[in-house]
Amino acid sequence: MSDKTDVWQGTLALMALKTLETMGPLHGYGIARRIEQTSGNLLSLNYGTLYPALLKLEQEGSIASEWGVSENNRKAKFYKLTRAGRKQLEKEAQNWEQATAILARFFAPKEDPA
Amino acid sequence: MKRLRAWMMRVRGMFRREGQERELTAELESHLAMHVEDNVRAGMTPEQARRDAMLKLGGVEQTKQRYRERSTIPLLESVLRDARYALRQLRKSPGFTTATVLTLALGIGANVTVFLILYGVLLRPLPFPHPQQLVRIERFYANGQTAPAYSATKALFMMRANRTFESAAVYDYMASHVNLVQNGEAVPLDALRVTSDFFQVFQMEPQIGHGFRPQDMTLHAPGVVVLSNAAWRQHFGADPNILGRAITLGDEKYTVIGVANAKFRLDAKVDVWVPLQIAESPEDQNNSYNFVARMKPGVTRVQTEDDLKRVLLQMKNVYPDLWDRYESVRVLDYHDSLVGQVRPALEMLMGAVGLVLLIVSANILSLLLTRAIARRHEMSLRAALGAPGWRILQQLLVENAILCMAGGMAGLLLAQFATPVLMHLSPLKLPSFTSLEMGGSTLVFATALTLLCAILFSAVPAIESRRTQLNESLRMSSTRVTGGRNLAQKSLVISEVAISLMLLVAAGLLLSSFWKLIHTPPGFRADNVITFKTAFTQDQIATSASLGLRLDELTARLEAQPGVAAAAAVNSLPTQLTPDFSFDIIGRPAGQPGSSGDEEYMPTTAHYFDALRIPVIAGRAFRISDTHGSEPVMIVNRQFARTHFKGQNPLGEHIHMTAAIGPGFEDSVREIVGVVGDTKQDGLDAPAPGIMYLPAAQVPDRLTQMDSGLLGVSWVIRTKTPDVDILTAARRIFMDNAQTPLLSVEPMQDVMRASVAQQRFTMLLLSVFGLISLVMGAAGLYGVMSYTVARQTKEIGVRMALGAQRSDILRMVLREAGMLVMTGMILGIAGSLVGAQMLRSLLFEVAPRDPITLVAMCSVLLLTGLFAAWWPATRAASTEPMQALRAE
Repeated sequence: MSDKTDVWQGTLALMALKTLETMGPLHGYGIARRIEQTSGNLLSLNYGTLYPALLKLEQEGSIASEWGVSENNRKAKFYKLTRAGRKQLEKEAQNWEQATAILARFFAPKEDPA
Repeated sequence: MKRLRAWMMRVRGMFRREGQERELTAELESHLAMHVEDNVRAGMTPEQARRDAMLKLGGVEQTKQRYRERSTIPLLESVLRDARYALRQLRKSPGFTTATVLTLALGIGANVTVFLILYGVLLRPLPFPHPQQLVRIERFYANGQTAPAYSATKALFMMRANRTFESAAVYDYMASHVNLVQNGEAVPLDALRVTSDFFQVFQMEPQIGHGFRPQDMTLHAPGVVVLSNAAWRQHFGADPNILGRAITLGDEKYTVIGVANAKFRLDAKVDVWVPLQIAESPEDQNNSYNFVARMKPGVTRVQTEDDLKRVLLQMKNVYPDLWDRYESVRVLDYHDSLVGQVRPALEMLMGAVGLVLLIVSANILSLLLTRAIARRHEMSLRAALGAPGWRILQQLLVENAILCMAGGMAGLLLAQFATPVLMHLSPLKLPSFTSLEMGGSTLVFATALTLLCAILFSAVPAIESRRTQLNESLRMSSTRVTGGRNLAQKSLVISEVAISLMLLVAAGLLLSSFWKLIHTPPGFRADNVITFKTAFTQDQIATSASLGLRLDELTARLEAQPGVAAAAAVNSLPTQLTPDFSFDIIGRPAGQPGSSGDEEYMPTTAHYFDALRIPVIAGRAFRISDTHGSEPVMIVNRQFARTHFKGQNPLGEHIHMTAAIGPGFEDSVREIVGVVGDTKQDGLDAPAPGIMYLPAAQVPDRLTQMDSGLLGVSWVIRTKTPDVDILTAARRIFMDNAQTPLLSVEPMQDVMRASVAQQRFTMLLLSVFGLISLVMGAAGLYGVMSYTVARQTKEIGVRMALGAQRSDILRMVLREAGMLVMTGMILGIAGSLVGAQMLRSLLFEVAPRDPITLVAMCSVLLLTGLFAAWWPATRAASTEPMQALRAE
């Protein structure tokens, strides 16, 4: 367990948005499992924390929810990306890439000492 | 935008919480079910699968809590919950709640009441556009004296030579009485003569028609009149076609040219405005007009003053006789000039009522402290159960806020009810522009006070919550509490005592001052005297000879009525505005000091001194035979003799009232034929002025026209017994013989009472404040002593078991109370001595540091304090030692 990373503050929402983008409409449990799988089981995700994050996204209008039936014929609440959410994701992804690129420069071995 | 949307959703979330909760439960159930299925498929037993799913979720309840916090606004949510809890708590201790809310209501109510009056009179801007540009011009002399009245010539000259006025107007120093003659009946009205720009100056154009024009001011111009809104409604049925209507005022015809704006009110009531027909004249010294101006936008009072000083220098060349090198000019804010007299009293009352609020707050703080101590156990328990400190604090703050809000609202209600009652109990003559209605500013004031109290009271739980140390107070029983907190309560009681003493001393000073005031001998007998005024027509007052005859005839008819002892006419009643006049003393070298003077004068009919029982000290009173044709005579009072004859017998001396105020006013040389006692003509609180009494028939015609027109004629009738009804007969006599109704009918005693209305009002209000503070202080002391005794039950038990007598215990408690009261008293005495100066202008013949009042009030306070401490002391003394020791 000790080699698993805790989810960083604020990134959970971004992961959920990205998951919804790639997978289409999905219920909370599905999103949680998918995030775990995508991280290659390196993340220790407390599933319970996902629901407030989803609520926040819904309040902000990035996602919408409706009740539906799961693949196993179970009643479940499905979340899907709204148009605003898609834009939001684009922006966040850009920010993220920029941030990681900057950090990457710091940690990369120096190629050009001049 | 996104934030805003999220907030709105969260606010909405507060109202659909149950639905959301149910939805989340369902969602989590389906989540768990899917997870369990997956786990089982992966080969776990159903129990294992469920356990794992729950673990991964991190607990259903925790998730729900986190979700809830996100779905609504936790702070607001918890505040609402706290409010509900606080209401329950407050209901559970009705004694505490009622005491606090009532005390606070009293404090805030008293403050709002005084504020209502203060705001209505002093703070609310005059209801005209740009009122800050309105100024009154006054004469200002090198010796520091000011004179508010101007002569027509000086005012007119300033109006044409200044560079700072946008507009300016001159109007009568006071409204005069005039009879509106309608359908054979005469209705008394108050008329004010004004110059043409009067309504422009206030920027209050008439609602119908227009104001006066310059040509209306010329002598013998056809009479025009502007009606007040009230007069228009009352006497003309609000006739929309009133313009051009001819009406009769006195014996003159006027045409209505306008109806004034309903909001147009100055200090005194006015029913009709008529043009003031004045012109410049090089000898005019008749200072009998108000002078008001509207400064140009952006011009300051200082600039205006400088400008007018320049104009005065210019006047030296144009009217050398009018120029006086000691005379300068002062420009006052117009609003200030109307309310200058009530200002000190109102400001003092506001300060005093602020002190009342301080006492009230101290009392409530003390109550809150006691309550906080009693609730320490509850708070510790809550802390032990996991409530964070700030949550406990928040709950206590909410409780305080609810208390304060209830108190504030009750206070507003109280003020709404108390203000009219107060005004009825002690009528105070307020300027007529005053409105005592509760408006926005009053609400803001009350809210601010409430907030202030709420913040102040929060200090208690804030300190308390820091002190709440769990284990310690859980272990401790309520009868053994550390002493530190008691110190806070004791200092509160001490400050309460100090403040109440200050208020009591102030109230005591005003009370003894008022007592002295109303027991000042006025110099005449006011009992069994009825007074009224009459307004005569221009014709009736055209010459002194004819007016004198008419007055004598009316007097004779009045005196012929059964039960009448004496009747007389005079220009002004005691305590009412009396004109003055300058004179030379014949036989003294002109220009030397003592050769001339300026004193009040009073034309009267023969029996004035009889009617008011003013003693004739030397010489004789007036006789019916002192008529227009007879030898010119004068009677002076003792003060006059003292000032101008150094106590020597003035009988036989001669006085010449000069033409100083202008042509036509010159009098003949008069012989002093009598000396009478002094009267408080300028009010009970002012020294008796020197007075020259003249037979009404002998006064110069111009003076008669001016005085009788402006002041009207006042009448005094002394009846033999108090139950004689002379008014019915008097009304008939005046209607039949002079076609005039009676105005301002009042017993002389009421006239005297009205003259001290403001002092009575101030005294009454301050006494009420003093009483409130005394009761509050006593209640505070009682509370603290009761608490102290309860706390010391065990100690007292031990002492008694060791042989202490009940009287020892009694003395011990009383000594402790006495220490508190004495400490507070010493502080209060110091405060009174320092603050005494504030009262100086309100006191009459009482020193602001009057030792008798101080000692008396200290005794009152000490006795009340002992009284308040007596019960706790006897309770302590009746402690049964065995019970007290077993109690724990």
